[in-house]
Amino acid sequence: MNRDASNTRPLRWVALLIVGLVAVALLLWALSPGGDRLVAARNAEQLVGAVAPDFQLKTIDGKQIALRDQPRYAYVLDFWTVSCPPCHSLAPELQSIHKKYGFHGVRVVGVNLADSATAIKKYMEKNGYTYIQTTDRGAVANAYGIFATPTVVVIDRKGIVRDVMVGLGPGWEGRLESIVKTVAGEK
Amino acid sequence: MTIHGKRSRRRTAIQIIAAAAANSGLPALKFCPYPGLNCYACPLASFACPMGSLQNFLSLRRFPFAIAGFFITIGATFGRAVCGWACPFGLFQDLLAGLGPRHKLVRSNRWTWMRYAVLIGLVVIGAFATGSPIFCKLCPAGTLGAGIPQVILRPSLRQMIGPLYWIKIGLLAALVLAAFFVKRPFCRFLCPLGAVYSPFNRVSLMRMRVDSSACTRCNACKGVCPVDIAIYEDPDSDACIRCLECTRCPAVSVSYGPTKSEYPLHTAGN
Amino acid sequence: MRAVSRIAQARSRSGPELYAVLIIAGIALVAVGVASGDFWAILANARMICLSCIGIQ
Repeated sequence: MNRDASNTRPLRWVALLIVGLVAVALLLWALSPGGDRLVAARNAEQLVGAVAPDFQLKTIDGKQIALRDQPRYAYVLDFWTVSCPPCHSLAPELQSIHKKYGFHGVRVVGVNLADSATAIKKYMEKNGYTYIQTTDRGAVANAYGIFATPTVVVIDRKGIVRDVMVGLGPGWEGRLESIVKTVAGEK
Repeated sequence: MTIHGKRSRRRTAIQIIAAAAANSGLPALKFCPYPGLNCYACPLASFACPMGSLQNFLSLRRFPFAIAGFFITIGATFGRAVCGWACPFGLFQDLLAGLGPRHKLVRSNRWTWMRYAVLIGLVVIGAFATGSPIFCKLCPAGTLGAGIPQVILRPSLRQMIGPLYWIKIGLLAALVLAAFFVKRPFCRFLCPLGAVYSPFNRVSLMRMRVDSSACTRCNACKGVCPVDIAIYEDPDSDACIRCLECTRCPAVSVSYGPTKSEYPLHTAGN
Repeated sequence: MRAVSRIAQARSRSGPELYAVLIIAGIALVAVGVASGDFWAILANARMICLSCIGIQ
């Protein structure tokens, strides 16, 4: 019985497979687009006070909206997915902000990161929400360093990020309402 | 027959390389599930978690074609070898076992059916019925790989810690403690990913062989086995993680491909 | 132990070629998954942290 042969052959096989996988992984990484590969780069909260990264988003009705649309709007961006339970708690508050401040030049924009336009429409209709919904395949989320859902980004009319809320922390409703009120009141 | 020497250094090295590859900080590969249990919310994760992805599909009520194919392909090729060679959480438990006392408790595998219950109850029915990944909410691998490091790395998350976080920490602490005294407690009794690969042990390309004429049933294989099985009792056992530690016994070997009658397939009772 | 062995032998007889069928079926399912956008769905889910899953909120 050749003990060595039975021992080393499969081990070498597995080792080669793993080395191969690592090589493929490195190759794919080297070829992949986007500069968000490092963990440190992905932190949306660092954007507060900075100029908001430009964005262009397609709504679920096929329209285009952009940060630089005229006249200048203030934005409440909600990065979300259907499968995220806390995102559902946020939606009624966004709807109420839309109702209250929509006429004051505040655009409430859902930026969905995973679902189809059909699924989003169904969700909006089922719950009676009417604020803008868009889909993003990663470009805007990467630009804003979004790492978790829900994340709410509030941008004023000058294009400055005024607040970033990752998740629903204590007192999130009051915090959101107050910053939107301030931003809506500014020229 | 006896088995000399410590556990295979090569296997430890491969486990470490695999854990490092799964957590290399290259998120460009997150479209692909990792074969082992490795949380994709780990700050350095470079692959998706197969259990998390499966639950996401089920909670969206979508059939997980790619994930099912991925499991079947890997299972049919290697059986549960992923558990023995590539799972970072398996490595973690192996290392804890090494730190604990030499004589381990719970040497029986009578309760291993529980991992099928976790798979069906929490992963499949739980995610489908509630629309949320119930297993993830309890997963100790997720607590270790994501819950703890994310809270350390992102201070703003600390104010949002809820009761579930402490339940998760408690579960992980209990498991760590158990792993000192019981070999791979999570893999043997709870892991739903192991439950997915387990049935493939009977049909996979990679198979264990025991030479009936050479085996003396000395149980040296059970001694070195990281999941406490005696391979001669059932070389195709669904509890076997194909780590090949027992192949250090000359009576045990591994084969790939169609059976060649070098050895009789099974030995017990011959 | 005899009983275990007989069961194992009976099962193993149907074993050797089944893996090939399963591997092909598995690859076919992955291909169906590619066609139905499964990998995009995996990526969309994997790149965001599920805060409620790690006990936050």
